[in-house]
Amino acid sequence: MNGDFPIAAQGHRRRLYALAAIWGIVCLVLAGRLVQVQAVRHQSYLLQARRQHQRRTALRANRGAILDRRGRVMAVDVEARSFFANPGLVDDPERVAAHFAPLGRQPFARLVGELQSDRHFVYLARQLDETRTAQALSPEFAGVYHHTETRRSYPQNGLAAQVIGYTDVDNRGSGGLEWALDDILRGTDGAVAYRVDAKGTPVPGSRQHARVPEHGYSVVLTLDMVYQDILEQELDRTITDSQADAAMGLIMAPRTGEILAMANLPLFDPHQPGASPAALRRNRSVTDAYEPGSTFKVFTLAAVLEEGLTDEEQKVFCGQGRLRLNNGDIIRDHQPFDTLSVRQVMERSSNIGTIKLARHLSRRQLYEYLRRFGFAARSGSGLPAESSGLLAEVRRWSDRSLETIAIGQEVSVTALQLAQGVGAIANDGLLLTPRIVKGVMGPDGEYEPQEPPAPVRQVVSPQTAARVRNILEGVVTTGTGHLARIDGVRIAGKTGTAQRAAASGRGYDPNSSMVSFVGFLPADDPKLLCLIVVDNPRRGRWGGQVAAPAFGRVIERIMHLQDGPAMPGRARAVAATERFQEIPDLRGMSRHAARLQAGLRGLPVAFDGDGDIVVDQSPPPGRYDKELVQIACALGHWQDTEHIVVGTTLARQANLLRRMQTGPPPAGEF
Amino acid sequence: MQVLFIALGLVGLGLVMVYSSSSVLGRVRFADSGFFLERQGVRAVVGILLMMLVSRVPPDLWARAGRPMLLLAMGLLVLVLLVGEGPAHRWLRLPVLVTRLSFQPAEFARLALVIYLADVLARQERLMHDVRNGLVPRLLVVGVVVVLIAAQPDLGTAAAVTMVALTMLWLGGARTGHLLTATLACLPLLALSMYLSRYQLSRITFLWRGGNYQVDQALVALGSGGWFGVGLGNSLQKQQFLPEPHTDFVFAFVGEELGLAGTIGVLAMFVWLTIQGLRIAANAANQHLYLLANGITAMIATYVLLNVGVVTGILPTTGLPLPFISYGGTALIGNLAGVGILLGIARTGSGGSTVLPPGPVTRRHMVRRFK
Repeated sequence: MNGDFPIAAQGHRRRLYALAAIWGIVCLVLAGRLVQVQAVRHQSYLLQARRQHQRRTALRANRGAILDRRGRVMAVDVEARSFFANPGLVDDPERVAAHFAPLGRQPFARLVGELQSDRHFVYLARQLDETRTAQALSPEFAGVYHHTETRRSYPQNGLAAQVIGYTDVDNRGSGGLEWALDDILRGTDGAVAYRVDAKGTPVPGSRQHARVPEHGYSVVLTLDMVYQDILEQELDRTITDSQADAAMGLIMAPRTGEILAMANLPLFDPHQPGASPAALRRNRSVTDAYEPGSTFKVFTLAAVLEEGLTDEEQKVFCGQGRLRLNNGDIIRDHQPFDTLSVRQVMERSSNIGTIKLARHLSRRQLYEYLRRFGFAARSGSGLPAESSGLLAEVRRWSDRSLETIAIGQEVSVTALQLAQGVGAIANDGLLLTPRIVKGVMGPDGEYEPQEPPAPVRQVVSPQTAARVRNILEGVVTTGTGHLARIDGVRIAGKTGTAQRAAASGRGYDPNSSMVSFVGFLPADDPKLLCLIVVDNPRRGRWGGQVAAPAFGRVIERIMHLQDGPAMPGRARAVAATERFQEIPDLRGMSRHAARLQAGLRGLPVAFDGDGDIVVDQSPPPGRYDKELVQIACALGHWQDTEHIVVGTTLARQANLLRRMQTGPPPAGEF
Repeated sequence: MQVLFIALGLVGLGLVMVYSSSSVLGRVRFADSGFFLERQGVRAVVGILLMMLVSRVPPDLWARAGRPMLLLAMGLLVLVLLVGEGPAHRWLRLPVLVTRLSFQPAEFARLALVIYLADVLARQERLMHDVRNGLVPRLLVVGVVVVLIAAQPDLGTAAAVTMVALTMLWLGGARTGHLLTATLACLPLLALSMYLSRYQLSRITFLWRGGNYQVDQALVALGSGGWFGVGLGNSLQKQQFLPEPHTDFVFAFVGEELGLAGTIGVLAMFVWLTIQGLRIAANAANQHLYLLANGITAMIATYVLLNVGVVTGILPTTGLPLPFISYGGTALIGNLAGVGILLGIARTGSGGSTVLPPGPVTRRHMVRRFK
């Protein structure tokens, strides 16, 4: 078109180019900015986007339960509510503090102070149970919130507290078996990821499992809750009657090494471990060694008999209650004896007679026998913080060591070591490792019995063991242990009385003693072994006076139990003796929990469908005739069942387990 | 004709992006994820029909239409100040037939101003060097329109209209020095209005202070898109992270869903449209049509540059729509009418520009023109 463009516009042509150039430059700047934002800083913006679009919520893994040998719950997770406040939003700090101070067991004044501070987060009450949660929830206060946590519950209210142990506020094991078995009990938390909109509302259909929680294993112990209860009650009674400081007790199955009960009185409340001194929380049966005294003579006797150095009827001159030891010291019997047979030496628990027998042994021989009976070594039970006791090596023995060790002085042992050693006598001379863990229940609900440990060693011959048992039977029938006698049962046992080391650290305290009784029954084929140790009784001086009657009462009560002495067997079918079968409500439970529930009742359960949550079951919960014994469960994904809140299964599990406990529910926490 | 196709392409993309970005909002507010799409679709059809109609109008007729249109626009702007509705009193509701049409007079005013200025500047070309008789009367007219718009308050549109008007005055022959002086004279006024409304101030200070939620979210949308975006319809930011996602910040969703490729592509389409507009201007038969074509092109280009500048966080938040793409009926119809005018001018332009040779030939053609 060249020249025919309007004349007037010609002069401003350059302005058109300039305009285009300006726009072009601005456009390039914008393009550069786009490259910067979208390409260069892409990763950082992507991160920012993820942060605001995605949320992750932890799916708490269930901590495994601790069950006794019959599947009764000794420790279990339950839901608990923790209350906290944002002080800036609290209208009335004094009312809030007044409401929560008793619930959270906090001083009112401190709580008010915290609520008036400029902090943003104050715990009002942590881990309240159902009852106290209900109290805490009304009335509602501005600025007060709560969230759900899991809390460890000990439904038996501290039964075997030192053995079971306790967890810290984050539900990690921090004492006893809870601590020792933490790796087994503790699961691995899972997580769920989902997208949210700007208001934090989850976007439908955006939920995805980031990680499925791996639930912890439940542990089935060898303990029998009923035996434990009896033992603890009798020990408690003994402490009261004899005005003692403390007492320990052990019941074992000598043929298997299983610990059926293990008690340390006084107890503590595992729900509030911090409220008790550390000394009370220790499982003193394994952590604390004491001087065994006369109960130790059993091992001297076994060694002498095994070496063929004497026999039951050999006469021993007991020096009228006075004997000069190798180093010139004088030792006395509790009453003067003239001449006793070996059998009578045990029955009367003569120190002098025992020392004279021991003098047939070399130092090395006695030491080796004691080592072979398991002393000066940890038993290997798996209980935490076990002490190995004290038994000096031969080269460090003094002139009188052989003689004093033979009667249970100058050594210290744990209650478990002593029971283990006597157990070898009961078990035909074969020493076993004591067991506390019977098996584990996996996350899939399958019970897996723990392989019994191999026998440790044959300490003495079965014949020797039988002879020792025979002599020990006399201790109960006619000797110092006669107060342990029960009509119709052949009991073998040995009393023990030892002075406690003086507080000064030198010599003995004449007014303070440890008295004990260890025994087993039936004497010819032992099934049950029981050790009672009473610390510092003020009423009654001798093991035969204080510990033997306690032994008798414990054994008598166990004998009167309907199902008799507990023998090893698979823990199941608690409800089998009932006329009707109670079908539990498994809906909403994880596969694991459902199988655990059904398994504990001895009910076969079948699962159908994929997913990990029981969405339906047949038959529905209720009471049925025994014929209806299989529960068919339909599985689904928990995403499908929106109403299930994480953690519900735990509470339901606890409820169910509580209901199936035998006997009246313990008062207190529940 | 290329202008037509680009415009139609942008409108089509706009409908897609309006739907994608507003579906969640529509569902939340009106329980209908297609709420905004349907409305915008109707307006697009109306706009395209109007564009076809306008393109048939002999372009010289716009010279006569300028003054009445501007008077009408001013009247409507005064009216909206008195009875306006919606946020910041920008909308007028008019009973038409059975329905009540609501529209923004400011969007009509900017087109009217362009048409008016093209006519007046062409007729008074020789006077433009004369400050008193040429420049000042025009500036006064522009000033009245801008103040009326700014009073709504709609500072963004006021600023954009000012820039378009200045561009036209400059192309119409006004002296650069005069225009700069006039612009500088306006700065105290601008400062005063900023001072009077603190929130306007905060819209600027975030540029170096940060902390503007809307812009931050726009950047997250753009940035998380990366090179090729998260895919059409997959935006996560539309979950109510970005307020009013379908209007002024729709470009952010182009960036999130289609990535850098999408944003640069859209920018390229506008560049192409602008080049075509400038070509049509360069080929125009007379000074009136030259200014008219440039004015319309400048109007579109200015809005694009300002909008993208806002969304990418390098300009203060002004609340301007992205032409053809953002949700908003008046703006869409106005822009399409503008394209209709361009098409009309192209048809009557000299040198066989009615039917432009396509593709590479066009480039050569254009280069020759510009020499």
